[in-house]
Amino acid sequence: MPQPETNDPLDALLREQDSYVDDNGFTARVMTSLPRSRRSWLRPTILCAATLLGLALLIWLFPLVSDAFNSDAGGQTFSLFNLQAILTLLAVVLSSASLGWGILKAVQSEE
Amino acid sequence: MSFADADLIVRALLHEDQNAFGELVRRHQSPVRAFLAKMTRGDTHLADDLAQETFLKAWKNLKAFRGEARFSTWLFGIAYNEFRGEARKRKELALDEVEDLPDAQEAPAGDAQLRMDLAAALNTLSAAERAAVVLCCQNGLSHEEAANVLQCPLGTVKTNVLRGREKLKRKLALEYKEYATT
Repeated sequence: MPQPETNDPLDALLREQDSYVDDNGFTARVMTSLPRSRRSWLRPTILCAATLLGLALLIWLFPLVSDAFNSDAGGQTFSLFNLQAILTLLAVVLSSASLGWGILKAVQSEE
Repeated sequence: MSFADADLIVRALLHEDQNAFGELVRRHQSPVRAFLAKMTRGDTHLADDLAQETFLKAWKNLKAFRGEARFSTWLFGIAYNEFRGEARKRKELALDEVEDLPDAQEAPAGDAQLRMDLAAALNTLSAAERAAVVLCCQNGLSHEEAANVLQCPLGTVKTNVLRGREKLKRKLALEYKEYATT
């Protein structure tokens, strides 16, 4: 608990002398001197890992995709086989987008 | 919307949110810098360097803040340690033994002059006395909080406040009679 205020002129003078110090860029200097956040690498890393996983899946499923397109060319109707191919392509598109976003964010955080 | 210090500390800790910490710096920079300016006898450049180091250490050791004391009290503790480290480097603690007041100036005793004389009188106190007086009488810390900041026994803080105030009164009483009897 703070000390009770007294009527002592010295106390009054001391309190009066305690004036506000203007920031004048001090906070900005402190903020630039802080070390980079330890988690700044986390988001790009997760995104890149997800992208790599997506690409690995694509490579693994690539024969399936190419077969699906070949069967479309032959005039076959829509099947579960086509759906798998579409989902695979969707995964590739999303992976590419997340990779692009991850790289963009990483570059921005470096700036 | 204004967040309490505790909310900002939680945000800074859990999310490593530097913006939340920036708000804490903005709130507390004035008392910390003013305290260090007095401890360094008006060397504002050195005081600001020490204050910057204080906030940097606060950021690095934020996990060590357990909320038992006010955040400002915790910051004063770090600031005082920074000052002591610097004083050790500069051998200022040895210089603190010199307690004579500089030659009195023959200026008219206006408010500005009175404040200057008080600042000069504060500079003649030992570091421990100055810290105790500034923390308790200017920043409104309790003796217990000041003892926590200065890492010394409660009795020592009380003695330093008492002794520091007596010295200030003696110095000021030379020029201003109203400080002679209180």
